Amino acid sequence: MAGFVAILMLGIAYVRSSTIAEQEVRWQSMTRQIAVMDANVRHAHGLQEQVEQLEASLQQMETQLFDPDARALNTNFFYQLERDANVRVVQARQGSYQAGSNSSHYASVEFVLVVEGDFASLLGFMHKLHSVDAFIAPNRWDLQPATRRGVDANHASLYTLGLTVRVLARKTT
Amino acid sequence: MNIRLFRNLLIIVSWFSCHSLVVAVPMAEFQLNVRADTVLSIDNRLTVLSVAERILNRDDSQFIKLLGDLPNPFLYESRPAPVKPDIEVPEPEPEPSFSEQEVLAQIAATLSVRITGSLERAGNYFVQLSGGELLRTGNRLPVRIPTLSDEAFIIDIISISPTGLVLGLGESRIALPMATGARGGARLTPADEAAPNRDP
Repeated sequence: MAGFVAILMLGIAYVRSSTIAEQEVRWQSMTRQIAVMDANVRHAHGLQEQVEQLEASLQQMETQLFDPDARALNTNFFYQLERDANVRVVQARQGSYQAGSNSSHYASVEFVLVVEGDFASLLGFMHKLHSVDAFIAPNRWDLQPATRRGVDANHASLYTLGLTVRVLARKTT
Repeated sequence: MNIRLFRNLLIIVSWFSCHSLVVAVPMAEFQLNVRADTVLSIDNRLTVLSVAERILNRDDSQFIKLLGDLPNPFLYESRPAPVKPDIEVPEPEPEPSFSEQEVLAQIAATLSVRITGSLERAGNYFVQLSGGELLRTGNRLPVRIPTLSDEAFIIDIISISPTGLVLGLGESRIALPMATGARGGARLTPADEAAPNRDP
């Protein structure tokens, strides 16, 4: 009798063995899900308000993007910085448009700037580019004494800043 | 949804952290590489929001004050002055100056050698130069003379007659008689134009 029961138990164990493995995997998955849910519940405090705050910030950033097609407005934007920075914008030319990757929501537009002023003013102009609403990233720059006859380069007060910047822009269709 | 929003912000943040000269956003603060069903930790979210706040408020008036009259730290190499050679180079002799009339006389002498004949067609006179070039009244010629090699003159053919031609340079005029050595002349009437006489 005992032998029969043992054989029966072994048979049942054999038949159920695959089900047991499946249930173990399921149990581990559920355990992970429970851990994630526990963590999410712990981290959910203030989530809604923060998401709304972030959405508002991103909407504000959207309004500060350049429109690649508004070339006149774009170049005028740089000329308008002259007075605040006490420099002379000799040239502001819109260059290439880069659409960025497919996953990116943003594009960028290159601008070539030539600016003349004293050293501190040119640094102020660079800072102005950083602090204006638009998102402007300096790419390449060079500095050289402004061409003036009879003035030693190391004592010249005016410098010419050649600057290439990329500006974050909306994607064009 | 919140992950997508945070990633959009991350793109803008990376834009600044890669390029900005003044304020670099610490990318290490961002821990956005999490599963889609996971809510970001409160600390991470606060970091993202503080960075967003920094991005939207970048003006720093203190920085401008720091600039003051900051001197340029860069030094520029002056181009060395050209070294003067010890050997004294004799100054070139000044070219002689001629009046217009003298220049015209020299041009006339040069031109007279080139005249090979004259031609009349329908009352218009032409002068033929060596090489076959025909001059007519009103032509203008660029001419150089050996004594003033650096200067070119434009002379006018004022008039041409069977006996000679008149050259002009500015207000000056000179008559150039047809050289007796000119090797030929021709008169073409309108009737002859269809079959011009090439061998007078």
